[in-house]
Amino acid sequence: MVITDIIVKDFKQFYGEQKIEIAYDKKKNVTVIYGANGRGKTSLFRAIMFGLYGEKRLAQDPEESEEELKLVNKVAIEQAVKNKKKEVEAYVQINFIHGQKQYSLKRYISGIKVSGEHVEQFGDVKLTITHQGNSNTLKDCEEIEEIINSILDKRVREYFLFDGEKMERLTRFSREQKREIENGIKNLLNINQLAVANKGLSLLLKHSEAQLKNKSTGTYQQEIIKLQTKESEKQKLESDLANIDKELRLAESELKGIDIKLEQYKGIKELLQKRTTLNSELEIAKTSRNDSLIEMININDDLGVLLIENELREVGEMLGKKIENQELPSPIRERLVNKILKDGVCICKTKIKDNPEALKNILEWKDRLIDEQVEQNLFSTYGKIGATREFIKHKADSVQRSLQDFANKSEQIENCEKALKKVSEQIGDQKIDDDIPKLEKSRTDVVIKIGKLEQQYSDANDGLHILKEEINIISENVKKLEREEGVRNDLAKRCNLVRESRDALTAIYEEFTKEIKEKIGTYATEIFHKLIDEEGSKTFKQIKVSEDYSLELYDWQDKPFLANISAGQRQVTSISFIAALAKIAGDEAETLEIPLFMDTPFGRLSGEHRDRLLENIPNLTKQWILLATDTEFTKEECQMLKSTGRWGKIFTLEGDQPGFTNIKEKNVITFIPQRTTAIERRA
Amino acid sequence: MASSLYLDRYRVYTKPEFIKVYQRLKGLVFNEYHNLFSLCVFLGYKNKKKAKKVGKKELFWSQTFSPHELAAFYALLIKESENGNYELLKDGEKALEWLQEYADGGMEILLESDILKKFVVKRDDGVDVDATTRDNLQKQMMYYVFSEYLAQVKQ
Repeated sequence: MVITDIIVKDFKQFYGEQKIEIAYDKKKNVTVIYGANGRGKTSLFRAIMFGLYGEKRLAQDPEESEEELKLVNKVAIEQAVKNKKKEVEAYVQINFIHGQKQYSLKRYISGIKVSGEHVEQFGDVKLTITHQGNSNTLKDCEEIEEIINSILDKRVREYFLFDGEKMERLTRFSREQKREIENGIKNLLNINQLAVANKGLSLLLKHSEAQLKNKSTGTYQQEIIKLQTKESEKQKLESDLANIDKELRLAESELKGIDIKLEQYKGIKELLQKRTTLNSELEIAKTSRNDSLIEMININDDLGVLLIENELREVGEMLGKKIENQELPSPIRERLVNKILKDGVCICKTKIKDNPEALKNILEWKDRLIDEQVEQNLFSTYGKIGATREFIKHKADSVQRSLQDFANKSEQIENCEKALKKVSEQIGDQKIDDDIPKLEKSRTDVVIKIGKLEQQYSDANDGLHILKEEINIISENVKKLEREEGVRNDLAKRCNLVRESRDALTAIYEEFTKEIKEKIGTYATEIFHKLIDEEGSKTFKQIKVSEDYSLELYDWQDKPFLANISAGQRQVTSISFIAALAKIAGDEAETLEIPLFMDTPFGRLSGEHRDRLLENIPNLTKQWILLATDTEFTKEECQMLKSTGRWGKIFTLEGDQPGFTNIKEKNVITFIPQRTTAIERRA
Repeated sequence: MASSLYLDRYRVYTKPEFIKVYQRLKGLVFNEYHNLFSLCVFLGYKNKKKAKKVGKKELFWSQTFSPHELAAFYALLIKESENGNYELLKDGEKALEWLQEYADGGMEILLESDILKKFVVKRDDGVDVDATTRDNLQKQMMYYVFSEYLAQVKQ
């Protein structure tokens, strides 16, 4: 099967009719679809799944993700509402070649808005087959499905696309890994009928054993009863295991859904955290500023004295001068003047009675004497002015500090408020504050639940193994007793026949799966050695699918090594496994019959692995469609891909609004990715 | 008989119409009445604004004045007595009356200042101030006095 082009109309992000041509020339079979996350790379893969099989859901879609499953372009629906049109008819058309025939498959889906709800309905499907100039158009769904399945088996549809997540899942030691591999193998074997037959035989056996028990006696009967009991226990345990597995799937799907939502909120989450930090910073700054304001009331004690610093200085200087001029203190002077006047002799021995001039001076001096209380006040004040002026200096300092502190805190508050406003604008009116903690709590709960279920599953599985052993022993006993006691009746024979048939079917099933596991291991190893770097090739011998369906990588000493490999080696292991599955699905042809879609595969690969991938995958498959983001498809990858000479087409997914992605074809030779290479970045 | 504010105890009064202002600003701008009273005295003195007669509404006892306020009051009283009139320095009661007149004059200035003007509410029984903690009056008062202080220090 070779896809030549895909036409989409009003499908997912693609508004109106748009076309993408897939490179299918034998020499140039690589197509790159280049676009930012969310632009519609995966939607193109979804378009193929929908076009071929009418499937809305991809394996990676979480159970509850209804939003992802809306296929009709929302903008087109809104416009239809606006223009009073009834509905929007979207479609996907896939044109492909298979064998000598050309096929054109067109599938419709209509979308409408009912009471604000986006509702979709599957429409017609049409397949036109052209062979040697003659065209035949089919419209019958079942007939079309049969033809498509014969060309590209629905069972392996999930392996057209591998994204980083699938690669990661395949090499992680978990039940999920085993399940993924088991499903892949079962899909390939198509052994559902075998399982149905096995179940039927088990029921028949139960019925026959019940009859046999009723007609038996003694030890033989007791052994039959024992066998029956154990068989019932086994059935119950198998049913428990199936239920636990079901619950696990649901829980894992729930976890996936939560992780998708959390991923969507990641950007917002950082903003919310920033907002929380800013809010608490603002709260602290406001509290601190309030504290400053309260403290200001204390600092305002005696504030008024600052106003008369000048007067204090002047009065201090004046009093100082008076003291210096001996105009103060007056009580000493008063006593001295009175003594001089009484004695009639000055301290300079001048007899003032005989000296009118001296007497006049002494009397003038006496007049200048002031009241004792006044003088006391003057002295007290003079003594305090110095301390008060010192106090003013300190007060002015603390006032200045307080005002500065207030201004700083106000500035801090203002900055916080500005930043908050900006962050709030960035967040917009999305009311998700509560969602994130709830989602994180749900995630923790689900992870705990998965852990418990896995433990339950493991315990039940161990119990089942023990039961199977016990059943084997009892069965042998029953057979022995039958031989010894000569039980030869028809009922016993029938029981044995049914049991042996069931065991034979189980053996066939196990043989089939064993064979396919070995085959996958062989092909995966072959591909692995083509893709892995030289050092890896020297270290690792082979990939094996273990008995319990886990994937393992062995070194040359046959020691399991998967737990210790690098992310890049892990990715190469996954790619090898999936390519092996695809090869078997394509009847083990040298070149894969299905087009391979790879979503952002370079993320974790080293330069050498990436180069080997770019060099080898185009030889492994008829068409390789690379879905790449600007972060991983840089100039370096671009140059490398050009150098392989296998690059046929490049399309970019462009647009700046949700619901409006435009597919634009670019020239492979002149195309330059937005991102520079790592080397250039370093330079 | 001679007396002094340093030693003796007197009742300090204001005009009845200002009592609400004292009550409002206590706890909001200042801890005690005497802080606002002294600020008003200094404002009145600096602006040469005296009330014509002394108010009759009791405010607090003169003992609550801090040593710095008393020193500052006496510095003003000494300046006033420079012309030889020592009466205010001899008599504590007269000194306080003189200060009260300036305090009431200073209060009028304060009520017309940018700080309080917008919060002043005139009532029949006097003046009230309609301000809350959110108006940060303590900070505005601090800033106002500090600006005046800086202006005189620079001179």
